[in-house]
Amino acid sequence: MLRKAREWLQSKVFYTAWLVIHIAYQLQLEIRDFLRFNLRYASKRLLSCFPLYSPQKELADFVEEVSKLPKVPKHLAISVIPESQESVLSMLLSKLWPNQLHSSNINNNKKDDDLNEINFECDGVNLQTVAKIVAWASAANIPVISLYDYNGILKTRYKELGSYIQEEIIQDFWAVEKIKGAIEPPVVKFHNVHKTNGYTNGVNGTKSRDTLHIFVFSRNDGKPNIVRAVKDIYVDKFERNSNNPAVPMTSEEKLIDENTLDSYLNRYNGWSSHIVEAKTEPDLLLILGNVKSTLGFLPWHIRLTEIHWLPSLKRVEICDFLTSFYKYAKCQQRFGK
Amino acid sequence: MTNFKFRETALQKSFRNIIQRGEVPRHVAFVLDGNRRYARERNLKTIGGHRKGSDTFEQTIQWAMLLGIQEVTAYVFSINNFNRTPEEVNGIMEILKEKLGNILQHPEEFNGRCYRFIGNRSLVPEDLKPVLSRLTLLTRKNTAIIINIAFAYTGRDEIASGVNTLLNGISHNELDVNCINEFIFEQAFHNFPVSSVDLFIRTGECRLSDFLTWETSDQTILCFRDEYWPEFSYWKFLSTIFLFQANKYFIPEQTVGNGNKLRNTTWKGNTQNLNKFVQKKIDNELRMMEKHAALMDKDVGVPECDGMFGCD
Repeated sequence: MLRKAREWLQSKVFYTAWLVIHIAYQLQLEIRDFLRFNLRYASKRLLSCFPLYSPQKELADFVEEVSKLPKVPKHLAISVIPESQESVLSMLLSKLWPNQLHSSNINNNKKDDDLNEINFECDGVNLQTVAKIVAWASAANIPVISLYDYNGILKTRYKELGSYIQEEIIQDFWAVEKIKGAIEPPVVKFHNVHKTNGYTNGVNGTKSRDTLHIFVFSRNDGKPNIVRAVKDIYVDKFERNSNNPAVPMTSEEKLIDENTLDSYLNRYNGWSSHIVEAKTEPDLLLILGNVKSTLGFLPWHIRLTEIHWLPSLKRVEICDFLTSFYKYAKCQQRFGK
Repeated sequence: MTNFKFRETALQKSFRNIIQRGEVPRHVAFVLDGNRRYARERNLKTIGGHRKGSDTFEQTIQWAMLLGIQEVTAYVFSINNFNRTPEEVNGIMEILKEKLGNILQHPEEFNGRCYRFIGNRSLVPEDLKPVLSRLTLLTRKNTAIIINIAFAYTGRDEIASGVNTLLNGISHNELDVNCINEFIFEQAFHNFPVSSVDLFIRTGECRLSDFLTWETSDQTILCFRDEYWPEFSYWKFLSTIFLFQANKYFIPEQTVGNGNKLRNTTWKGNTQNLNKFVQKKIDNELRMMEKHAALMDKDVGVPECDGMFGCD
């Protein structure tokens, strides 16, 4: 009886300790995130009073620093995490006091009447911020960008996104022009979208213009495409062969190798053989948010991809981007050797 | 191996008890990376780094059992690792043969552990096949913890093998091409299917390196650590489990829901055919392992397998 009471008490003490350390951990995460963002914002505002800082200078510095790096990704993947309605902290606190605490609906869709930000949001994804990040990547001379979100919000809104991207690229072009001596901003070309020929923003460029290739993925482009490949390979190789029994398949022909599967999956992804600047596999995957998971991003293509985390969409800045590139430049791919 | 019986301190035990109030991952995957860099920094031979790494893995299994983790998968040797120097490859094979041979010679010390091997069996050296097969068959019925050793493995090779197995099954009318979905696909991977990974721990780098790319998609929490594998300690392991719990909250509900939906859809449809197909695959696998296990030198003094899938 005493033992049971002691065990019960121990269990309650451990559970309370568990809740306390998790709440403390989440609290320090949110405070650090909040402080980092707001202190940076405050220091920028202060420095801009003595012209020691301007967003233009920050962009120019970024382009210059990246151009000096020994290694820059050629195919960058960006996984966009929609802003959730409830913070983790309030979820944890509601475990402790379920009746008393109302879920703190932290309003991530803060409407700034001057900027009318709400128009750029859809389902927690701020398209203009996504466009800004794509423009930074383009300024860093990255020719291929894969955008990903689990639910396919970006896929359905690619036209809107495309126009924001083009605006941001034109706006930032002065920095690229200055450092690299480029003549015209790149043409933005979406590949795996509804229009089968790919959707290109802006004027049909001349051949001398660079192209920024953008692929937009959702969870359905990952595992479901691999399953789809099984069915298509069966129809292409096995069913067709059964209509021609005079020439039976050899056992080698029946075996599908990685290259065959790779070609099917790249075809589904809309990859064109004209894209020679980068590989089909992303060199670097940036996850925008504190979700420590790939959330279904193209399992076939992610085998050697470096994975970094950046602050969420509402907090990410160009200096975070640069820090990630510094880290990427230092990493070493040994390919098993 | 028996020299490394792990003992928790009182403080470690208290922290473990606290951690266990929350969700403990069911399946943890490890990439044992950094052995060579560890050895270089300490002026050891490369093989010394691998030896230290294998000792650390032995301890990790004990830590996992203390926490109640049910399945552990380790990336021991990739198909690409065959490109390393013959000296290093042979050294790794020798360490593996020694460790596995030790388990076979002292089965009573490892009661409860179920060893399995995932990877491309056709690439495994001939002298290692009997040891791997014998160990799998001997420990097949154990339930304390499942230890998957990924040997001659890459994620792409595994997915391609799943495609081939399925195509074979469809062309022999064992499966209906229209009923294939992700859940059925997972059952078709060669060797034994590995369940989806809850926590992926990698030391030294921040990439998957073609390890369990299918199984870590969707909900797996990725934890990349800066230290090298031989430096991985119990406190670091406990802190990783804590981070798993802390990060689990951020996984969107849709990813969990999708997995369950797929499983339910399958069971409504093609149950009998799928069960027969999976059982036939497992039986073929076990039959092949018995053939390899029988080649093992009987003078080594290890328990024999009597046929029909292992020792009962």
